[in-house]
Amino acid sequence: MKRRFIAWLLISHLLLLSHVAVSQTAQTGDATFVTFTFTSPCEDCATQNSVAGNVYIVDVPAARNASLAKSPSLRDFNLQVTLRNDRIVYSFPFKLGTSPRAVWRQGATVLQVFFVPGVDNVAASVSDVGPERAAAATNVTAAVDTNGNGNGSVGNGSPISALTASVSSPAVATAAAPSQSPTPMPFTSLLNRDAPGSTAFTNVDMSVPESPAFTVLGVTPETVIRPTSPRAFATSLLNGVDQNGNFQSGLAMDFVPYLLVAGDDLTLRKYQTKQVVRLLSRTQFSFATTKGATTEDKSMRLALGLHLTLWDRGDPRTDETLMSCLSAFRLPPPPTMLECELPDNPTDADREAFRKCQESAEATRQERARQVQEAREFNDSVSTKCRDESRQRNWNASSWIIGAAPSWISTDGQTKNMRWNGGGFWTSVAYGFEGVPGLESRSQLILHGRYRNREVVPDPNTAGAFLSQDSYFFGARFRTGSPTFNGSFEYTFLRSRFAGLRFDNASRFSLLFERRIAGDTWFNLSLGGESGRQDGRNNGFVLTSFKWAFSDRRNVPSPQ
Amino acid sequence: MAHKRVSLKRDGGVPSVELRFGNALFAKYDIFLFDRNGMNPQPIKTNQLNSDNIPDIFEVGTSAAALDQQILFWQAAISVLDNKPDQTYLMRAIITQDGRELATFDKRGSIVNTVIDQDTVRFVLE
Repeated sequence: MKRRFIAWLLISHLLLLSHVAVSQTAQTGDATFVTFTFTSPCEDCATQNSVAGNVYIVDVPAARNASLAKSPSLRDFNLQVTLRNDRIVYSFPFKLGTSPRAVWRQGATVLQVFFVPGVDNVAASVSDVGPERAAAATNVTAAVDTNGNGNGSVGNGSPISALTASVSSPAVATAAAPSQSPTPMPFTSLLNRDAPGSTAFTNVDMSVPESPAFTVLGVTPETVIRPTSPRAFATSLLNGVDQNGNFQSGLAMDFVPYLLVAGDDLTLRKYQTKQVVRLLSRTQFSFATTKGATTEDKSMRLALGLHLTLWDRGDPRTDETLMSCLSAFRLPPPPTMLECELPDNPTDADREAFRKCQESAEATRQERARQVQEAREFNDSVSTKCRDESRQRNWNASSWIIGAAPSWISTDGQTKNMRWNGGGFWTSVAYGFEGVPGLESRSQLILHGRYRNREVVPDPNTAGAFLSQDSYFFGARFRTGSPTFNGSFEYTFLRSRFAGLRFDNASRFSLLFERRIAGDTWFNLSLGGESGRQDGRNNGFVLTSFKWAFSDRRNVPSPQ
Repeated sequence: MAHKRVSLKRDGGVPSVELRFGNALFAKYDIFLFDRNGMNPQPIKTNQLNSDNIPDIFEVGTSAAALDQQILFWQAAISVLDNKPDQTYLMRAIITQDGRELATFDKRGSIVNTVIDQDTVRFVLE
């Protein structure tokens, strides 16, 4: 049985290799593509065909700032950008008979989606190692939907302003001609991310949002005000309210009250020795508003957020190894003389010293500046290295973080008419197996729970319609790894209901393994299963996807 | 720019200087005493860390009277400990004599990775 299974794997892999090689060869002539360029490897990004077909989706963390470009041959490109929790979802339709194909390049920093004519309309993902050719790129403009529902209106009928964002692109984008490399990525079926228990995205976000207020409002503000003093805080608030008492649209603020008030007196030693101070120092508030910008839409939404780190064994400020590393800092030698100044009641000797000081002042100043610059450059490199090492050392440290964000809405934009508009609660507990040999440096277990109330989500049955949803979410993830092997197990449970309907339960699990074959080539194996109770019936676990591929991109976030 | 000044009681005890670095940032620092003409630096303490268990407070000189017109100089290399945006540093020196706080001198600014900052004060006898 085992031999049969392995033989089946090999045969299907070879068959798929030949299939992809043929289709890649066919498209090298006139490539039609969209390019997403990221500043760093996009480990948490994903691509898929929508379940309805003819729409391709690229799902990236909101923190990833992708620049977009398209090939000149791609016309009538209709890109929609949706902000959904902490992720940005780019979606664009493609013509029937066209097969979008995602190509990850340059260590997952560049994603190119090719529209290949004349092949099966099945999404595929490949990795490029072949020759490149340059093509002129064209800027594209995307409408950003700030409420995460696709068309800029919310479920209760009150429209919300849609910001128009210009998605910049590099002057010249490099178009890849997918090569004949051994890079198959067969999917057995189209995947629906929003389906209960979908295994389309194996890396569910199990973090507590840094700024819960932004998450609840579904906004990813370009500019966040982070006042570092009480005066700056007051000024920010003043700037955020107009003369009629209405908040300015898009105001987003992040601040730590304790640091605002007592940051000047917060020494490192005080932080290290007083638990209450640590707790207060890491209690962060966020505040966000969105306001309609048109006469039809005067609604204003407001959310407050609280982010609390109750416990963190990976706190860099309590990392003694980091402190020891930073002690290598260099200080410049003291200046040979300070700024020239006569002392009180100067003597002749003082005047003579003052005269000599003035003569050599400029040379001394320049020498001092050079020494300071030299020390500063050295310290910069030491600090960066030490902090990187600290992050790697503490990537899996145990911690407990909670976040909460209530929100309110005023349909007429008046602050006096604010009413409850739902909210969210998140908590994540991470265990780093401290003191457990073999697991301490390479494994992590995360338990995550969240509750969202009155979240506006797309109606799965009616395009363009939106529903209010309450949901509970529980997730558990165990991951372990080494430089050459990574493994991950994930289980999630979702209990949700649309307004006026019964609760629906769904759960899913996934197993991922990847092993480095050579260089940047990884062997990936993923298994997923799901069970959901819909219409009162339980479905058993079903194997929904099986993926076997070689890729230059890691799919399982690797332990550092 | 002229050196700042702090008044000491001639018949008081030896003054002390304490360095504090706000916002829980890391710092390594030196303290020197210069003569009345701002030359000939003598170390009070060098290569001190704010992360160890040694208090960051030090006596200056051997007597208050001998410090007249001398200049205290301190410098520090300060570092952030995480990558959070919009961080600021504060380097504060507190001069005390006989347990009484005489003056506080602050230097502050924004910090991305590391900074080196310095400050001076001239002792003046009352």
